[in-house]
Amino acid sequence: MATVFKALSDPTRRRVLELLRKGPMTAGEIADHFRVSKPTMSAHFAILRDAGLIASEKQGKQVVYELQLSVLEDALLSFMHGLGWEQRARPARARKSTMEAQTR
Amino acid sequence: MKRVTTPTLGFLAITAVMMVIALAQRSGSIDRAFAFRGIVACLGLMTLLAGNFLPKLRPLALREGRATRIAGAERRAGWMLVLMGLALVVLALLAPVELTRAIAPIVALVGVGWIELDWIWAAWLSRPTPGEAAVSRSGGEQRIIAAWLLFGLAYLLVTASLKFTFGSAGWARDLGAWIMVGFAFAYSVMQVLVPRQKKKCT
Repeated sequence: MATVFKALSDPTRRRVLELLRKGPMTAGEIADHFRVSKPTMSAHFAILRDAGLIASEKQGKQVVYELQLSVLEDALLSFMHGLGWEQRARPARARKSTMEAQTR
Repeated sequence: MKRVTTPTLGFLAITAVMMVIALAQRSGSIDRAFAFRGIVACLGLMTLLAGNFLPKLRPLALREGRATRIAGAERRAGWMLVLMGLALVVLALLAPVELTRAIAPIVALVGVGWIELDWIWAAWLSRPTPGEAAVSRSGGEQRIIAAWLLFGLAYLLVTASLKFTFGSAGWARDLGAWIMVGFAFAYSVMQVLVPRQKKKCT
């Protein structure tokens, strides 16, 4: 269960799960929705896969991801979404990017 | 296979508890009402467990097809089973025995019936278009195990509900058999009608 909470603690990963609710998507299609590097995105996928929240299948050169949530995990995700954690996460991310810009 | 382990072990553990309760009642260690509550609570827990893991095990998605619609049907069935399980556990623990005896079978039969109809409806909406070819998905073994677990649960729920309501009457057993045939039919229709697409696997 700790791996599930770890996976759901990140807003990017929660957003990936929300995207996959619409149906299976390739890694590229999911990555198009985020402004993060490919290795970072791969790391997010790996964490979600290790937690058993998504399943991947290789189709030719592409990797297709699909949602694999139990009812409890589904409820947990919806609960976090309902609490508006995505909105709360944005200022934190904005602060982080400002900090990164300042350090540069 | 890892994903199937937890629900399978859970099923076995709950079945063992149910057997202990039945033996304890037969030997006179616990009274009839207590045994009844225990059996209903165990059935509720079993339903809850199956419902929770059902969308993860994907028993319907044996082949490629209308992934989102099929996943939706599995998700709805999972939620329905979880709600049924919670209702059965609450009834077993809190309600008077007579009320539980009257309502628990209705909860179980309505739930199983609703899932049957929903799966048939989803299968009908997902029927193949001409020219669609087929290929099996990976992870088929664990899905088959998941399907058997589901059949086992449905059989338990239906037979227990009918026994609680009508006793051991012959026609009640027949009705139970027909409900199970309906459940198997819904599953088979889903497997046959779900369209399949050719894909290149590496």
